[in-house]
Amino acid sequence: MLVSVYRYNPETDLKPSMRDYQIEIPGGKDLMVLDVLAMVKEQDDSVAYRRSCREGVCGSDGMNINGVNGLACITPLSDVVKNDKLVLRPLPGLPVVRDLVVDMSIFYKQYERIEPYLQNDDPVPAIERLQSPEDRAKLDGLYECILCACCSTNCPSFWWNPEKFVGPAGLLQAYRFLADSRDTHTDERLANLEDPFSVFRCRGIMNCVAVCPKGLNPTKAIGHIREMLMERGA
Amino acid sequence: MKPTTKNDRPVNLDLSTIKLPLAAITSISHRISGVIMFAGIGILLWMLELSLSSEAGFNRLHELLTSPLVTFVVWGVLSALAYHLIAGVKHLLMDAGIGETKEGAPRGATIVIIASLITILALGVWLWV
Amino acid sequence: MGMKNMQVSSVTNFGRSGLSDWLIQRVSAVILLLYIVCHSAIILSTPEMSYAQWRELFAGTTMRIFSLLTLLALCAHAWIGMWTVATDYLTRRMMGSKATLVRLVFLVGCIAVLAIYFIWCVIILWSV
Repeated sequence: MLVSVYRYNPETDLKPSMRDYQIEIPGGKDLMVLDVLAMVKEQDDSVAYRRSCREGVCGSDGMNINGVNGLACITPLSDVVKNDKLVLRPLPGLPVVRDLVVDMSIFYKQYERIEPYLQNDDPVPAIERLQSPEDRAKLDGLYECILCACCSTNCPSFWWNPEKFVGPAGLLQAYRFLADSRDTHTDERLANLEDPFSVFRCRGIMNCVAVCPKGLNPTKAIGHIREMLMERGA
Repeated sequence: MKPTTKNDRPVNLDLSTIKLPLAAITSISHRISGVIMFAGIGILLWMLELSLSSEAGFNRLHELLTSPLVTFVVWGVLSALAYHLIAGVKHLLMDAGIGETKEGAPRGATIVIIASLITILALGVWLWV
Repeated sequence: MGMKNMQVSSVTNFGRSGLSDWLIQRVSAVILLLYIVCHSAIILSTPEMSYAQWRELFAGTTMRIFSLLTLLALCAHAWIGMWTVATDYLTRRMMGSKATLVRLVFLVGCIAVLAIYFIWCVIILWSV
């Protein structure tokens, strides 16, 4: 199989280029893209990429695989390879540090901006803050985000304005805390999101939903944030 | 060794290497049709003015609409309007929570494309025939 | 520990907040939709419309008010749309340091066009 990898070494290259590798896939095995990358690295030790858990929970190995963002460790070749060719490029829109490693700073900055921690001014109880099963269920589809950035780096609005638009991942987490019955800072959180850029750059393109490796739905979460803003301000 | 700064880092935004889902294509088309309409409004206003100015003006407009070039331009403007309107209705439905899912997105996009094609063809028949 | 000052403000957008822009865009869209549907129905149901009928349609006060409201809705809707396009593509990221000037010139141009449309349409509606 032909594997074409985006290569960029800031110390030696003026600009990025694609380098091809011939990889022998052992008879009929449906390997994961991460396995193939390891085989590429056996051939060429200089290829740089992030990886850790190899089971789709750490979010390290997000990359653009044959045009579609995904986690290399849980993307089988059968899902993505056509015509015996695998093209690996870094996540779109973020500055490339080296090869398939991108600078996630702005992504993390937007995440921090929405205050991704429980805020409750009530006195701390002797036991845990109680939450009914119904209220806990509201967090399903929100808490599971592994911050892999596949969604935000697939979002054109985030491409054009990453410093101003919080992006699908950040907004999903913003809603995770807005929806949490134990959080009492709902109004402050909403006040922080009223401007024309933070939330409202979402045009409903839905590239995020198409690509989330955990099956989450940022578009729906953003819709809920808008509803809450409407309840509050309209 | 080449000196590098953080600001020199390249960005992967080669759109030809990024697979855009159907919903993304209908979305950018919605934007394009909107921008076309920005100019298109001028054409529609001109037609309105001419048609209301006098009986002669009214007839003149009908006469102009027999010219292929004029008809083509008007068809283009009305088609952009039709597409923008239909895709806009999809957005309003999404605001109401309909179609905001992984399966719903391509389904909604397909419906928009089919409805638009039918409308644009119908407009074509109405204008050209 | 809050990051409450990270809101992005704007002076060129239409409303007072992202929410008001979004709401105005939706409401104006519905008004435009109604106007287009009404007119399409009228035009399609009167295939051989004469000048007299067409003129009479626009001479009435109801049509004038509806048309003018729609026009206002159009100006708001189009401005919000063009502003979004300008703030997506005419940016420092895309064009470097000249972006701000280009964007402002573009936006002023859009306002000029919309103002011309508005005045022109008022003239047309009241000339009947």
